[in-house]
Amino acid sequence: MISANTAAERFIHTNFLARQNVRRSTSNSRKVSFFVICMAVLTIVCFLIFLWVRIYILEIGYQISSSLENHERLLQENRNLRIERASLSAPSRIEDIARNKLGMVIPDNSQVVILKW
Amino acid sequence: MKLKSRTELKKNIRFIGLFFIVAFFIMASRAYFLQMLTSSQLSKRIQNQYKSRISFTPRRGTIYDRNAMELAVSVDVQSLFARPHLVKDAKSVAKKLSSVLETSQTEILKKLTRKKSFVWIKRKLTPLQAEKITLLKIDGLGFVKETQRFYPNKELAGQVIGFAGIDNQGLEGLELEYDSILKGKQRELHVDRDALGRYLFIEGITSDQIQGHDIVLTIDKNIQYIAERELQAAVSISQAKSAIAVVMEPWTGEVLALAIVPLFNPNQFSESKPEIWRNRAVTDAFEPGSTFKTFLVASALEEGITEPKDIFFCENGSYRVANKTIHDLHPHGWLTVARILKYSSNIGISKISRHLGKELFYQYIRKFGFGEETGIQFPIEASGFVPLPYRLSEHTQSAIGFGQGISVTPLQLACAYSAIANGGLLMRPYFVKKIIDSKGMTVQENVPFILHRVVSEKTTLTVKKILKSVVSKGGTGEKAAVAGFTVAGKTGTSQKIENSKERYSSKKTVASFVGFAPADSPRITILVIIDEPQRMTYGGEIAAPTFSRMSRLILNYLHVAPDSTLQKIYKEWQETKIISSRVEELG
Repeated sequence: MISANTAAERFIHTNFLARQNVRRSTSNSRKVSFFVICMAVLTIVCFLIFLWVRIYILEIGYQISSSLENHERLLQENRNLRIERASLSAPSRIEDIARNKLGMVIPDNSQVVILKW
Repeated sequence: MKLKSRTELKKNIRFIGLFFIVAFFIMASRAYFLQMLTSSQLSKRIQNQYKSRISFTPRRGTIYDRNAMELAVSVDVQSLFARPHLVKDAKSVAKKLSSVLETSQTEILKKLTRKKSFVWIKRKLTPLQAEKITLLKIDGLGFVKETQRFYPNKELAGQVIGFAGIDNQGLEGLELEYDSILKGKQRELHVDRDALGRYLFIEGITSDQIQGHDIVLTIDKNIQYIAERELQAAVSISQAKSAIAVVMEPWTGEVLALAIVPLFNPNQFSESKPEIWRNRAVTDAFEPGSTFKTFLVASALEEGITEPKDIFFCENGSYRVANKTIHDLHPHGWLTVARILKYSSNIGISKISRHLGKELFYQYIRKFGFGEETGIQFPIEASGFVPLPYRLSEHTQSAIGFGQGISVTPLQLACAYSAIANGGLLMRPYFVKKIIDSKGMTVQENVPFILHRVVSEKTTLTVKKILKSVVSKGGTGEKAAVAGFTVAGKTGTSQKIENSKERYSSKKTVASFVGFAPADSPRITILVIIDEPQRMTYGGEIAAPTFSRMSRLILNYLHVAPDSTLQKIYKEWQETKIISSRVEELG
């Protein structure tokens, strides 16, 4: 015959063990879920970093492309200015301005004094 | 209750864990599939989507004069194309375009209704036309950027530079000769594109890096202009058919100017006749006339057959050789060799020629560079005609002495006179000084090249002295004199052959003068040829004064001190020296 006290003690003991098991399994599952969450966060962070790098490369690509376009535009402008200079410095045009607008004439040899040669 | 919920939680966690494991497995297997099994196919697909190949037609290189002034450049222009299937209401589009492009409406409509996916409407539009069409905002039309050749100095050196066609291919002159160098090589570049097809990065290449090489000529733009302007004036005064001038640097063979009148504008080459495009100083040969006498005298002096003071009887203007009569313009009696050249006596020359002998004369003619190409870099070059000695009759031998029965190119003649100017060395003439790449680095450089010695320096000094007398008072080239400078040269007047009658024309002549200045230390050799002058038909009347004007301006431009100035300075220096020595003597 088990006394009532003993039965009560046994019940308490069993209950305690059960609670202890539950606690142990809860702590294990917390660990697992923490690990899973960490992995998920890490994956997302990696993905975000990868995405950021891609976008950054794209952005740099656009910037380079735009700089090259600008460079090309400036080169074109430079070329146009050179062509304009070449057209404006055509000897026929200069002579026409010198003779007709400025009233200049070609000097005779007697009018030429060579200081250095 | 609590226990139940915990068990469920546990289940859920396991389920999520399992989900992640399965998802990871799927991802890993997919990644394996993509990376290992289909990677090559996929990378090709992605390359097609995000990478593109652009074919770059290089910009045609620039042609510069010797002072790096642009003579031929490439200008960016827009060309208009249409995709006929995308054009709505072709009739109204044709009407709009015809008013802007100044082309007939039916012609445009014909293009717009063609069953093709791409048609050119008009290539190389003006900037204004392109702007107007852009503002019209017509569907199915588009622009392609192209380059067009532009010659900023218009007619200047047109026959030397030549021109390029609509597809930027060289068609004439140096543009044709150096076509492959100027055109450059077609390049294909890989570029990244975004989802909208915009280019992200073009390997850092700019249009300046994709271009043909540039060419620097020996031509001086200002000297060329002087030569062309003076030639035009001579043609106008003498009512001549055409004229040629060659200006050379005698010590190096560099061609400073090569002018041919009538001029043509390479920007609108189709508006002038093809025969005007030709560089006749290189491609055409003519009978040199009396300018050739110099070479006979030089040969005879070199061989020691005659001396400048030897005298010949000039038969008072008429001399019969092998049943043919040789005439002088003015009758002369006894003349020294120097005077034969000064007065340009045909009879005197024919007598010297007989003394020299045809074999020797032939050898010297060839040594002076006649009868073969000079080797100048040009698409076509004539070699002229020198008859072989065994084919020469007594009369022809005499005639060659005064420049008949032989043909030379103007460039050959200028080179031969340069040989006398520089002390007897025949130089190879050249137009191109150097070829440079887009970074300005020299790819190829032409340097003066001595072909061979023709005559000794002593002979050239004697010939120079005689040629100076030609330009002195009483000489045929009197009008070639340049105030302040000593000039050496020779006039020439040759009759042209009438093709229909195969005999010399009494009306058609070629008047010429070739010489160098300053005579004792030559800086330039100039040849002036006036073809078929109607007035002032002799070389001494029209070519010599043209030479004089040209020389004066060119020598001034080159900052060459007049001989008179030098003499004055030398005299002053000597006087100062005498005074200072006397001062020293006096203590």
